[in-house]
Amino acid sequence: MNILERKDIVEIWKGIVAGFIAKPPLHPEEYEIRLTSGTSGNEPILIVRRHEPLHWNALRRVQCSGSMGVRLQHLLNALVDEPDVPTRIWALDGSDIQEEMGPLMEDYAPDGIRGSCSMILRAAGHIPAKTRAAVSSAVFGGEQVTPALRQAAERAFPNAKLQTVYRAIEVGSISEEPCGHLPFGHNHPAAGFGMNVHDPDKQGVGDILVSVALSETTFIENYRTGDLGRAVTGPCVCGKEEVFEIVGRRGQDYVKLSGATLRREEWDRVADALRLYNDYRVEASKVVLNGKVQGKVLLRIFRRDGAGTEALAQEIADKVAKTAFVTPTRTYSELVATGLLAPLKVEFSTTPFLRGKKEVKIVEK
Amino acid sequence: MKAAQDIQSFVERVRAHDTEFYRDHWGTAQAFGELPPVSREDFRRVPLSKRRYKNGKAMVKVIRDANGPFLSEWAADDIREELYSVPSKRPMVYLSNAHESLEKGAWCRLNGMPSLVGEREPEVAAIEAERFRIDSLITDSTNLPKLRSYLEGRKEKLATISVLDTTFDIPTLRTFDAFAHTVRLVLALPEVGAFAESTPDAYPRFRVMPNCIVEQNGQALVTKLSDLVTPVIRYRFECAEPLECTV
Ligand SMILES: [Zn+2]
Repeated sequence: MNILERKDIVEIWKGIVAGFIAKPPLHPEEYEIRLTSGTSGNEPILIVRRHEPLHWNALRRVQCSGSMGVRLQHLLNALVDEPDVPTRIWALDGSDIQEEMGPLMEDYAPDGIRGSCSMILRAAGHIPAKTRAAVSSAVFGGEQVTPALRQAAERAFPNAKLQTVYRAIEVGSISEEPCGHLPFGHNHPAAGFGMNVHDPDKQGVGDILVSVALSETTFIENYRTGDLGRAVTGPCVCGKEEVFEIVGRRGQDYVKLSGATLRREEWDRVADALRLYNDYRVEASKVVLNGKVQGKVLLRIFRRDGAGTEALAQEIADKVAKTAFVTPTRTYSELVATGLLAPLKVEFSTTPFLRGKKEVKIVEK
Repeated sequence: MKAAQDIQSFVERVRAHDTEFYRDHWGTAQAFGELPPVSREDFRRVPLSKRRYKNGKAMVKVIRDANGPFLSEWAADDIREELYSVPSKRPMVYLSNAHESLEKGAWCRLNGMPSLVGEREPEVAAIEAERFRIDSLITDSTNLPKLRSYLEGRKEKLATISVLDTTFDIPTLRTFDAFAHTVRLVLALPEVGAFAESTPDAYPRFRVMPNCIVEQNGQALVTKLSDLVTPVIRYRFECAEPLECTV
């Protein structure tokens, strides 16, 4: 099978953009332009996509996303789709999320909140309980919702139906808008999307491959999104046959964590530079502390010379935290200072790490 | 300028509305020129739900200054009518405030243009501008200089740079003349929209936009003769220097 990787669709998108510029479509206003983030060490991709309508019955929406492109898409969904429906939207900016937002939210009285779960929970910390209780729909997308995050979201929005959607900016909304009958984390593929789980393991988990039209004239087949998922059997109450579940991002590339990105190549670089251990594994998790989401990282290391003392573990943790970049410009220790990350913890492993088919060094727990 | 009777009938329509904000504020004053001015403090003091004069598709923005935040709501139809920029094939919006950026992105969409709102980091916005081969820019005094090196690297001039702001540093803005056929200075406030425009050559002479009234008798007041979600009637705004506004 010929699998398309990200580098393959970089070229395809360049062609589509060149076509748009050379010969604009009849209705150029129906197109939204945005750049995918290049944080995974890949070249960013410029996307020129036709507006995708969204059927979400929330009338007073709050959108939580760091990306301007994603915010704009949801703003246009509210302003342009379904012309007779009086949809309002507040696309939250990070700078809105502070104490003084509470009375404004109370005044706005949202019924639906959508976006990245971490950002939604950060916002929830400044929304009065009564206002949160009036939210009837919460839709998460853009990052994996771990059990800890889900529980925190259930507490924050006790009367909301919690659902997930799955999209990749470079290909669009892969999941359909939730039908309302599926368990949390399960979705139907969107119309026009072919989905395949490639090379599944015993639990049925493998790489998600999608086939879809990127433009009126360009169809891609078997594009590896970089996420791991599985097909769920059985038809849904709504009548649709196909159901899938996303279980995580391919760990060997990167894990996103509370404003930080843990990249395999960076942790390899740090290991090479410091030469304090022979092998390592990074376990990332998100914890909710006083209503705030904090990223927590455990670095498990193996030393051929044998394990060391508690003091050595601390010394290694300090050195790694000062060396490892977790954003393009900031180190782990700098993000600890901002409160986004908990201090790095180092643990010795007495046995070497097993090397599997896909050598996963960074995982999200 | 609109005929005096048009202005007065607009005032009466707002006064007769179910929403009490202006009626309460005006008290017994009748003639347009006698209506007590309204200010940011009034918008801040009164929740949005108590100064909403219409319902429908709209975006809500947070406006924040040293005295705290307040909400401003803009209907899709009203965003469309603004004169933030002029038509072009591939505009990019790059403003220092995220809410303002998004609103102008919607303005592009509602006026027949593709919409591109630059991401916050200048390096990323420059990549977007370059790859999309933008032909115009909607920006402000804070963000325009961040794109200088991108602009210096361009082979041809942009059609227009629209600078949306309340103060304009003309010597600095002059250094951008080389990068666009037209540099527009657009006097705009988040809660008012655009209401007058100029160029670096004409500054400080501003041309007041259609359906807007600017009064300058000791204090600067702006009125928009449009049925906005929260209408703007004799709204006080701060001006760093005296502007010469002409209709
Ligand atoms: Zn279903």
